[in-house]
Order: sequence, then C-alpha cells, then structure tokens
Amino acid sequence: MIASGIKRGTAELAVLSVLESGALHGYEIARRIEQQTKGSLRFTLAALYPMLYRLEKQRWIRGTWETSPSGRRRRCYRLTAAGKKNLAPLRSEWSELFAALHRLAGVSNA
Amino acid sequence: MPDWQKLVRQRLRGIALDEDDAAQVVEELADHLEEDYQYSLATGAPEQLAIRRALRHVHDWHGLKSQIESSRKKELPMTKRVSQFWFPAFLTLLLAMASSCLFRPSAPNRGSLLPGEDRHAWRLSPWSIFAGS
Repeated sequence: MIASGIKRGTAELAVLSVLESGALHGYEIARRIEQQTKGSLRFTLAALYPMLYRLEKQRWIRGTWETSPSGRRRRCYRLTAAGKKNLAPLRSEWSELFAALHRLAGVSNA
Repeated sequence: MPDWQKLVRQRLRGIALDEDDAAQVVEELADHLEEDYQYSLATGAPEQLAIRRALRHVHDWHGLKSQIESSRKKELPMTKRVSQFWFPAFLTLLLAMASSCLFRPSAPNRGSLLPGEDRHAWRLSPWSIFAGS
C-alpha cells in the first residue's frame, strides 16, 4: 500500500514537473523524464497513460489534440492552474520525505 | 511497419468507453508505440527488435484496459450532485420535521390556520402531517 502510494506520488510529481516547462505529448513526457533523470526513472506506456488520464480527470492537466506542421495529430498535455497550485505542496511533501529519510538512513535528498 | 492502431484496437477490444473516447485512446497509445518503434530503428535496432521493444511497454493489456476505463470514466453530473447533496438535503428534512414537532406546542392557537377548520389544517401545510395534526 505504501509502496504503491509512493510510486504513484513520485510519478505524478515527475509528470507535473516536466509539464511545468510547457506542453508535451505522452511520448515526449516519458522521454523527457528519462533524459532528465539520466535513465533512473522510466515510464512504460502502461504506467504513463492511466496516470495522465487520472490527472486530467482531476483537472491538474489538460490534453488537447494538435496537428504538427507535418500533419501528425497528437494529444498534447498542459499543466492547468489547479495543477500548478498542487505542484508546490507536492514538491514540499517530497522534499520533507527525502529530508526525513536522509536523517533516518542517510538517503540523499533528490 | 506494424499497424499499431490495429494492434492496440485489438488488444483493447471491448473497452468500456464511448466510441469516440475509445478511438482517441487507441490513437494515442498507437502513436506512443510507433514513436518508440521509430526511435529504436533510428538508434540502429533491427526491425524485429524495435517491435519487441515497443511491445514490452505493456505486459498486461487486460490490466491496462481496466486502468484506462477507471481513469477515463466520466461521472454523470447528476450522480456527482446527488453524492454531494443527498446528506445535507436529508438532514434539512429531518431538522424541519423535528423543529415542526418541537415548536408547534408552544404556538398559540396551534393547528388553527383558519378559524373552525382545525381538523382540515393538514391539507394546507404538508409539514403538518409530520407534526401530528
């Protein structure tokens, strides 16, 4: 229970954080997270899309279909005002958790 | 190149979403698999390996289908409204009935909304039924 909660929480933080810099489609979100964490965090399609849909249902992100200049249709996700508002406390919660783990077990802060 | 849309549509067959929603999910997931496949090819992987890598994204299509269903299912507006307001509405009704019972005895000339029509006063106010008129 704790493990799945932590996993979901970190995944949400990762997705919301990469969307803070601008709109991205699903594959770009996964690639961006993988690149920025130097491969430590990887999202499979099966992990990513149910979470994107859930975040969209919560209105933290918004997906819209867009057509690229090459004519390719893709669904791009943006952080909403509610998502931005929720990102700050989420960050501080995780920061507190890492600090606590650091004090407890010498786990380095992220 | 595999037909990714066809593959995803087959694997998600019977998904409990409306037609348009299901089509959008299929298009989006197929696009993701195709991008992954193209990336593998671009980084030098042979086609069969690129296909295998893309397919490795989903081990359990049935589980993915259920997760997508629950994360995309829209709540009916009335269902949400009912779930939010049934208790306050019920409480208001109870309080109204209770206060009607409590305050009637102290009211002057109780039940007599019209002179000489005490026995038929309940017809004028539905609350009187609960107040025991």
